[in-house]
Amino acid sequence: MDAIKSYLENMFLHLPKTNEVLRAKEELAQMMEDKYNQLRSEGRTENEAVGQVISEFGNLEELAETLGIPQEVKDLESETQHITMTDSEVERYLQVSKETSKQVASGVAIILLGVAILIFLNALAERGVLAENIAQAMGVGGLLLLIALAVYIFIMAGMKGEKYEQLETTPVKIDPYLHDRIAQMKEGYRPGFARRIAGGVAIILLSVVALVTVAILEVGGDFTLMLLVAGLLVAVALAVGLFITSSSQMEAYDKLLNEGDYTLQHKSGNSFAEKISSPYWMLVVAIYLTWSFISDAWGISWIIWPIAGVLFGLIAAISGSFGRQ
Amino acid sequence: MISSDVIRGYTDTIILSLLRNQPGYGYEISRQISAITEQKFVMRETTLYSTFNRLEHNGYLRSFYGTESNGKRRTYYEITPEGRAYLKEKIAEWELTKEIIEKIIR
Repeated sequence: MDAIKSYLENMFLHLPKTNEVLRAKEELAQMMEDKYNQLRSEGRTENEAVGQVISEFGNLEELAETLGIPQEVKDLESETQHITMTDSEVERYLQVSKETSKQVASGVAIILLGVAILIFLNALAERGVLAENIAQAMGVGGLLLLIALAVYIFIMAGMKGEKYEQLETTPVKIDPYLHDRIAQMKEGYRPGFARRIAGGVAIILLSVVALVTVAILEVGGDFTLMLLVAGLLVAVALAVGLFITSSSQMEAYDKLLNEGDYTLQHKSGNSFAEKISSPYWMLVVAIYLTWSFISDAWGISWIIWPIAGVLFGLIAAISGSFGRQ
Repeated sequence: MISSDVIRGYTDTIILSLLRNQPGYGYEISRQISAITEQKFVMRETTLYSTFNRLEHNGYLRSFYGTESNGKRRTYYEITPEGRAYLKEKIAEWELTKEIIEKIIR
């Protein structure tokens, strides 16, 4: 009960002590006390009761007009600029953010699949099924086409998301009902988020372990190894998709709630997995192609992929677990 | 969860309706709203108080202190004749709104 009293005291701390204000405070205190007693008599614990009373209290701004003090409350609440969003804008934003994250994820997957095809063709050439220069021409040509397609997708996704860029740096102001609803959605998503990040890391690690085991035991020869690399790329594409879609959904909730990396104190930085993955994987492709062509190292350059995969998994896992505390 | 934009225009109607038959105090009204709506709508304390205050200001409600068995005083609200007239208007308005929206979406 003391927690409720001090919550209310804090709320009213900076308000002028007019009769209207004091009356409101007294009556609000009474309502909160009644609700608290009722919850306790229904068997809730102290903490549960206090939590529910405070979360259902509402906000001062709503009282401002009634109390004839809109200016004071405004000064108090909006020292910085806010973005106000309605129910439908929030729905729309969550929808757009889901769509763009899927687009970025599929763009990255397209690039990785292009590399997988290139390596697969090289493996066929290794087997003598295809001439080596034909395999490389087809593989590299195909990869470049797919990269062009992926870049197009990235640009489209970027344009769609542009509208909401200011959410990254400006606090969002939404109705308390809506705030609660989003907070519930976020809580509901938390276990799924953890499962997806863990699943993505597990997928990458398993395929790397398979690859390394075969390489060390020298059981399959180059052909098997290259097939495994191609398989690893497909697995990485899947894992990257999991990272991007799940973390961008979590970040969308955080942005709306001004939580996580997007608190009022430091609203900066951005949707990590989504922003980093396209440049990251393009860079890896560039290094891979350059190395392979310049040193004609097609037989060994694939080693980049398991390394890049593990590194990406690591980054995603770290940013996923530390960023959410 | 219900859209808050929609319900906002009807907080007056909700509170006046619940006070139609007998006077009541803050938490009592809040509990009735939750119970009647099976927790689908919980009115916030600040909304409740703002509405009481506004309705009283407009002459639709009248407040008085009642003393509880534990000696504490509590503010009760009672509907006025103007309040009843206003409630009647608001209910008619809601019927019309409902009818219009129903016609369009069906």
